[in-house]
Amino acid sequence: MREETSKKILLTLAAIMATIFCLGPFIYMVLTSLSGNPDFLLPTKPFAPSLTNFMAVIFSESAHFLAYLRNSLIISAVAAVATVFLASLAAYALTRLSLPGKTVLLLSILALSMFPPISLISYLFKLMSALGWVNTYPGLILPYVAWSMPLSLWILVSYFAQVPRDLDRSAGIDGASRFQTLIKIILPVAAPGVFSTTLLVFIFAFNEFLFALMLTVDYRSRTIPVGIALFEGIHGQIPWGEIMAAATLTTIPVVILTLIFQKRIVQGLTRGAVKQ
Amino acid sequence: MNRMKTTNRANSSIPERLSKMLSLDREVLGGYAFLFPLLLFISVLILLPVLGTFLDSLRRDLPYLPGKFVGLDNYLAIFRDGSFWNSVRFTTLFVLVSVPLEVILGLIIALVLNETFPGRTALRAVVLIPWAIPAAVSGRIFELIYNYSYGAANYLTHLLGVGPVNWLGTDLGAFAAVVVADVWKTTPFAAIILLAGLAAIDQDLYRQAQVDRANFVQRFLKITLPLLKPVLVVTLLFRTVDALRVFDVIFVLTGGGPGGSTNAVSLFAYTYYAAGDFGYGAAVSVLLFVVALGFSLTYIKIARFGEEL
Amino acid sequence: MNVTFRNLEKIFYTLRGKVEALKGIDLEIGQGEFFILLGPSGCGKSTTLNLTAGLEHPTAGEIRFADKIVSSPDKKIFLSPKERNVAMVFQSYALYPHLSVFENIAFPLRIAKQKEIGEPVERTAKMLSIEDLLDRKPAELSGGQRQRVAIARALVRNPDLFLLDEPLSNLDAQLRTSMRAELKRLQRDTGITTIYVTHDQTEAMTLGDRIGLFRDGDLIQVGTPEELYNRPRTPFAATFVGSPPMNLIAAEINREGDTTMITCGEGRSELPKDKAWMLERLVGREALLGIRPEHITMTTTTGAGTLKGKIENIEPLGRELLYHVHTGVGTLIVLSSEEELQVEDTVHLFFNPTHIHLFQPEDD
Repeated sequence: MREETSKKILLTLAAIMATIFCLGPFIYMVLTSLSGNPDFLLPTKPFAPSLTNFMAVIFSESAHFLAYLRNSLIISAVAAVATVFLASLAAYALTRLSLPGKTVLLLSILALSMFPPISLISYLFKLMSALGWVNTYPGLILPYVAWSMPLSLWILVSYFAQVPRDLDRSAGIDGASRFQTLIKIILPVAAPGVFSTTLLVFIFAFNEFLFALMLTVDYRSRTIPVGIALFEGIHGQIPWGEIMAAATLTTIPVVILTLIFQKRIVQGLTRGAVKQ
Repeated sequence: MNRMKTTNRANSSIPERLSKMLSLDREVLGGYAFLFPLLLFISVLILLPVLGTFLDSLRRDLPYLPGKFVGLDNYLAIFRDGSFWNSVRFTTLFVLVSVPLEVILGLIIALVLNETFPGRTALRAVVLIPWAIPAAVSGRIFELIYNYSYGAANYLTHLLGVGPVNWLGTDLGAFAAVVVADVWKTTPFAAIILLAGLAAIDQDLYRQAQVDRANFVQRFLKITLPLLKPVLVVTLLFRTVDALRVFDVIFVLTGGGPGGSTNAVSLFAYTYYAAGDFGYGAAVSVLLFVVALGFSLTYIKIARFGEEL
Repeated sequence: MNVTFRNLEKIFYTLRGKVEALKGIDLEIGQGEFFILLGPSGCGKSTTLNLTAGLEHPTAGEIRFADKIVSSPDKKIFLSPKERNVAMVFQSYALYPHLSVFENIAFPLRIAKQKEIGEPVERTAKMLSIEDLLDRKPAELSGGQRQRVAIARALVRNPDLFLLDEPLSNLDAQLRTSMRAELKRLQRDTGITTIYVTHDQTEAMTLGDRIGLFRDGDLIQVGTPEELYNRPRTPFAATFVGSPPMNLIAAEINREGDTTMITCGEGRSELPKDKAWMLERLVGREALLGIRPEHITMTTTTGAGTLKGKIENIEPLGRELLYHVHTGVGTLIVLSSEEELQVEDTVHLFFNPTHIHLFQPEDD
């Protein structure tokens, strides 16, 4: 019994520390965004909550915040849907059709996700330049789709593999073509997995930094992470309050998504890394 | 013969004729068609750029000079470049410190989450938050935290009775700051993966061990760790590769400073790109790529054993 | 529609090497017949079914539906399942979990872009007594109900051929018996040519018009249940069909004049003249004698040419009892309604000559 209680104490302690660890910076961000002055932790400075930072960020022309937000949302959404659709096709082929060297192919594709982005970016930039797609939506969406494909494929394969083959055979006998079987049967049955994957790609694209940094120039296609990273003050003083306000506005939607769909996200992540 | 012709004509369509032409099973042809878009994307937007970077590294590619083939000159210059080795040293130290930290903290969190208790789902959601926040954004948050005059870090040191620390202005301080920021961001991922590994362990083994009178530590060492090994290895592999190519957090938090002491290799290459020197930057990138490739090939090798589709 | 297999062969290349799933079989199934493919697991029966459906390609040979070739590697002809108008019910039923019962049954009609869907679906559902379940999802149905949905989906488009792969093995015993009767009735009413795969010989015997017995890729025997039961061609056929299985014991053949005597230990019997054809199977003087448990007479008094034995074990079956009798030539199973005997009792066994079978001892 002593072990029970000491275990319980350790557990509670660890849980509290984990919470503080994970939430600490987040809360600090929110507090700063709500404060008129970023130095409110100093004993002499008060904490006066106000929404001025938010107002400044949202309505300031030069901050381009809304433009960045719009860009991020559209680019991420399109990339997510496109990636999952194309990866579904491939996942279907890999789980249903007997092709030699399937496993090696899949693992090799997964290995691509381990490449350092920096080793692609220069040539990718040249490519996009040549196509005239720097600072445009396609210029960012297409690289995001390609880059998300390996992991999406891996996750979808693990979900598709669990859909019974008999369903395919039955659909085939009922007259459905392979594509019809994919659309009408496999995708609906594997819907939770497809949704998880879409969510994960969306979050990835939304949070991505390096590609966006190099492939965008200004508010016309720049995404939020880059916007916030480069947000400098006009007068030399870094406007922490406004930066944190922008950060809060950015992270709140992603955090809400994560909270609502945490089960799906966790499932998707673990499928991606651990073969069950 | 005649009967065959009639049958075939009735069924002839483009996929039919194509597969007959290539004497491929129609089914196999369809299979490749499904794979084609993905392979196309990956080839054009991942493999091709990598190849291109390779080729770039063999050229002198500057904005104000005509580009020309210089062979391995860039590489030779790199090997003689002190700041390059600096960045390698930093990156190596960074990997050696942050990865074990993430995995250990992740394991602790995973062990907590593996138990059933009220609020478990809430805790899991909380744990996911650092993962959900964009790295660039978390970089800025930590930039504020480490602010010398009024940041939360120095507020804490003040509470502990220690003087204010110049985090971002000293080599050691910046190193610590960067490690903490990255560990904060990446521990959730390690925790989630390890949690899945823990959950996969047959609970009956623990019950058996308890009946055999093993205590908590013994159960952990003799059951949990050995059975968690494959997942641990995968986690370490993934995290190491990610730590090697770290960019976002460092760019935002320290920009590679102070004085280039936190210049990760990715960042080092980036500064050359930003200056327009694609040749040199490409060469650095290729070196990083080769190291990462080594790790991913190791992963393929490990994963091949006992995996069938 | 009748189905013909000519020299049908299928080889699989697996991680363990080459597997000859079907070794060149010939078979003809008649229009409207309820034909059973029977055999132990791995014998090739499911492979035959998959080849018939078009889910697999044969390695060699030919499959014809009503004289039209549907599968022939030599002539480079292969019709996909869709083009063959066959219907199939899988062991797992393979119902589409996200669709309602109505939509499951309607699926093939929708794919075929048929305009009139409601009426055929309702009619087929009624035929299988599931018209009240049309709004439900498969997860809400019992095993028996799911099976009916699978059958309804198969029959809704009036296929030429109805294929079933061990459809009853997931049901409990009681349900199995009632479904068997229903399937038989259904097939008789619709008159569809049906090919049914099972490893359960009771099912085969009760359902089939004719049975094809498979083993290791070979077709051992084809015949009516009665033929298979009373005139098995090999020891395997003899023991596989009929439960409890036929007893097989070593025996010796001796010709004395124009009679043939069979000797089994101290038991002797004369081979009836009408069974002389069995001798043609034999190579030497040794044979395998087969006798079914119900054809052995067991008495406590000795008689001419009887086999002496001791009762080892008794299994009461309700109406009758199964006696395990240990004799000099092995343990024999005897079916009897005699209730007074006990374990350790000595008995004398006599084989009814009309029901004796002789086989060449195989070295399997």
